[in-house]
Amino acid sequence: MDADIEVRDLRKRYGSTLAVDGLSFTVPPGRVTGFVGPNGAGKSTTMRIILGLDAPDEGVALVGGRQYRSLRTPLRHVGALLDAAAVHPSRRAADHLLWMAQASGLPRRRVDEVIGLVGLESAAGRPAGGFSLGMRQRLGIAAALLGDPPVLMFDEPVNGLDPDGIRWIRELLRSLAAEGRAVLVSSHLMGELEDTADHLVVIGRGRLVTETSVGALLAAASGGRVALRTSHRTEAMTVLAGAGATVAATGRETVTVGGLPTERVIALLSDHGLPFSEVSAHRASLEEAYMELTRDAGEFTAAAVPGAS
Amino acid sequence: MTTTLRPVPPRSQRAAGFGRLLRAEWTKFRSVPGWVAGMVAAVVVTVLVSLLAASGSGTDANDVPDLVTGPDGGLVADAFQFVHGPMTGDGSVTVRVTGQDASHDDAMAGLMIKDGTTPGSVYAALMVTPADGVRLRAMFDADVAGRDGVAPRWLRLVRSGTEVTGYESADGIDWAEVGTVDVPGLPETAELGVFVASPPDVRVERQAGSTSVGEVETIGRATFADLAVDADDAVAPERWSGTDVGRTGTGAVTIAGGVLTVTGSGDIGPDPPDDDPVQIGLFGAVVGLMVVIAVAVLFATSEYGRAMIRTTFAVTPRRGQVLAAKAIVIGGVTFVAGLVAAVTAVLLTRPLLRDAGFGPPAFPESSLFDGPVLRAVVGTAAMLAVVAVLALAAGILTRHSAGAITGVVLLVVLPILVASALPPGAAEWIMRLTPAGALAIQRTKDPTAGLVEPWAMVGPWAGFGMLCLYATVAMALAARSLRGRDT
Amino acid sequence: MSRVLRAEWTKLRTVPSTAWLVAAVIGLTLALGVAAVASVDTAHCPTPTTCAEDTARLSLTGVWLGQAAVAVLAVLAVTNEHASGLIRSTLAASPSRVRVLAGRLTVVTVTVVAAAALGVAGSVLAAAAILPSNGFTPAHGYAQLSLADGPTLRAAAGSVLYLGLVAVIGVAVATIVRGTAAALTAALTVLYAIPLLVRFVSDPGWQEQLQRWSPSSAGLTIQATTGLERLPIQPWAGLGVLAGYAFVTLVLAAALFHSRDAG
Repeated sequence: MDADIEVRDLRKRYGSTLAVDGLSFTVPPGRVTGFVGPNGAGKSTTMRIILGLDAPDEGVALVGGRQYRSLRTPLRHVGALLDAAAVHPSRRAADHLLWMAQASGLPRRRVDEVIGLVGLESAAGRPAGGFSLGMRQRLGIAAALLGDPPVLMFDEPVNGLDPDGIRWIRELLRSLAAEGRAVLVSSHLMGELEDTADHLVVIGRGRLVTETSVGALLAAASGGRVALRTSHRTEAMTVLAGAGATVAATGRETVTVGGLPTERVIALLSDHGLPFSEVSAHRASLEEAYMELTRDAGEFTAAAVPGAS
Repeated sequence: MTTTLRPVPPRSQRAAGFGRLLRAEWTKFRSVPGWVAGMVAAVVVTVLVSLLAASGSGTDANDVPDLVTGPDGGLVADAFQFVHGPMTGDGSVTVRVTGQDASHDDAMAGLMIKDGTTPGSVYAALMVTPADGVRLRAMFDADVAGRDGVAPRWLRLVRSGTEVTGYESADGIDWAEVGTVDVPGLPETAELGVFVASPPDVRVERQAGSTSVGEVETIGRATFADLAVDADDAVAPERWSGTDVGRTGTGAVTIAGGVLTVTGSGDIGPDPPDDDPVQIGLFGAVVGLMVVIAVAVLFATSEYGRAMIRTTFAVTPRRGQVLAAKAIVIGGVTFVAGLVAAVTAVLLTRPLLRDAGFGPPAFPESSLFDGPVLRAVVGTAAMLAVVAVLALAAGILTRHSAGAITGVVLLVVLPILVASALPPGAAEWIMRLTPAGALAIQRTKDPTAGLVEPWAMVGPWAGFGMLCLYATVAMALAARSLRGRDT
Repeated sequence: MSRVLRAEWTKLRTVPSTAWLVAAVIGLTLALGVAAVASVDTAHCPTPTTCAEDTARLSLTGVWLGQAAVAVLAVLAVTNEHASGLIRSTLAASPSRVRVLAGRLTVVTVTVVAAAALGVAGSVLAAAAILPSNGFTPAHGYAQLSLADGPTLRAAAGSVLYLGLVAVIGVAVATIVRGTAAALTAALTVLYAIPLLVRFVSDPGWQEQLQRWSPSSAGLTIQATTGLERLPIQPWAGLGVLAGYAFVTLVLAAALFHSRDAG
């Protein structure tokens, strides 16, 4: 079975809300694909449809070429972390994993293996209700890994984790992808994925905004711009704008310049006797690139990245 | 677009898949300590309340003077007007019943051979009835049906050893055999004659929680002609005498123009008291039921409390099978718990009840493995199990613990309280149409309107069947709602 | 105190189930009452004058059903807070726990009593309209059912108080047990399963004692208007027994609520 996820022309309406609107993308094996968009963009809905939990109005979602609901032991094909709180509070963590293993025809030792994998050995015999959010995330990840599946999906996996936990998850995701698995990770924070994802699927209001590699997105966002630091900000902006550049103040002493190569910017400033302490090719952060994209998409500027601040 | 669908797996593989699901749901159940404790509590409550109910019960059925017991030791009714004379050895008697008053549906008029005139002695009788046609009865429990129809009718009774054969005829020429009954213990010389009986009418009144049962005597009357005895050694009918068997005080015999007119009251047949010690010993199940309902509802609604259902359906996309596995697990667990509770309750309450008067002869000793007792004990466990399935389905449908628990409790228990405050007609319909009637499975005796318990008015299977119907419909609705629903 | 009351009232009012349950208290009481009255007529008695039917009590049959909605409302008013963790905010806002309990008890009980009054009054009025057509006429010896009649008024007002006490017990039990399912099962067992036991125990001595001391059987004697001399416990004394249970569970609830960690 192929290790990939393929989503084609997906459309889903809940009452008057169009949650997913003609979405198509693929998640290839061997790399971490980031699934990004603001809260309410349709990420969780898409993941629920992939898992056969919600039925799409149109379109199809395939895992390894098959519809999820046709899989007899889905955990061996797809592992998913949807909602870490979805555990009965008085059920012991080990039992929570045990019933899932039994339903999937997996041996009991697999439960101990994944408990070891996520480092929950000392807590496995305790009721899950007393777990911290971080421990619950680890339990949820253990459940996703239970069937040793070629395809993995994680919905906001770093929510509520401490820095150590975040680092742990990043390394885990990268190593899973390195083993040749297809890994889909959703987040409403672009920055969370900057060091993790190779590839990005950006959606907004249920539609695909772009599907691209992280490198290409950063390059496009930094697109020939120059970062300038000068004590004479206002004069510098006037001069550069006069030469046809697009300029934007980004701080008291910093300006971003577009439309002019670095050498031309230095020459213009020198010609007008304006001092500067730094001129460099601008490197956009993923967060900036994302803001750029969503501004271009135009539709959801006001709603863009709530909670990102 | 093309979607690759795997071929349907062979049956054995599908069965293995469902077996896995059962194990998974069982793990889910046993890993929540509160639910296991709930089931244990249901057993304890059932046994304790049964003991309480047994301690608070008593009967004076054995203290009535002149108890009549039949050949098997059980209580019987044996009262009628008998016009008879002795016959020794084999022989036959023929009569034309020219008329019978419809004093009661079960009024009797016909021929009888009996061991003397002491109530409770063995007999065989061939009779016409106003509602049940011709019947051949013996020993208080044998009952063979002849043709339908009412008097006038010719009847013939033939004795051969301890076997008695009945014949009937419309005209005295063409005869049809009704059947043959065995009357063990019928002596060489037995009393042969004609008899008339008419059972009392039972009136039950039930108002605002109080029930009163009254019996009103009815008087039967029949006319006989062409009486002929064919035997080597018998007293001729002209010299027969009348006996008021069971001293009903209403009997009379007159002869005019060859026609014998007999009037009489009373009933012939088994007459056990309505009270049912087995049912009393299982009474606690009604209270244990409350706990079972709560656990079964939680087994369903806990899936929704924290969106657990998404994990469940992601692990097993075949939702109908998940529901079936859940129902089998909760039903099975409840059945086992119910069986433990029922057996314990019946055994522990037995000595208490015997001390309280529930002993022979009015209440013959019974074993746990007697048919009706076994039905009551296993039926109690089955009733609890089916209620658990109903509660599970209600939980899936409502996704709300409080609503589902209250709804099922009201469906099962409220009808009993309401019915016991209403007149018998309305009460019986309530018991027939609601799951509450399933409590009738706890009874080992025939349906009766003579008890306070309204479910005693319906038969054991009628009530249990209605409960099963409710559970089936609820499960079908739950399966349908799961299939279409987004999680 | 009025601040606590207002806060509790706002919380009760804004739970969506409250409006439904208030409607259920009124509607269910009325519906079962009407159904019970309509199913009984003098034709089932040997003669129309010997029915010995307690028409006031019959008209109040719906209380058997309405009390379930009361129990659910009272239990949910408490356990919803524990389930959602809202209780911590509540106690942070007004640290005096006894006041919080008193405030909650007040708003729940007042709400229930108001709903019960509508349901009970409606039941009596509906019964008064139906009964004569079923043969319960003055000509047959049955006085016209009316709230102006002393015993009928006592039965009706007592039924309202009965439902109010059921609410108090519901709040108290839920405060003690905290889980919805456990609290509700306990309340429903008291309201439905124990009366069954009382009714079907056959030994007269036992039955009389159980009727006298079981909460709902004793409490509902307040509905009796005929045959008072045969009752095991007199109407107001019976309601007093129920009030005693309510008081004891409430004291226990207050003690536990005061001493326990907010969970």
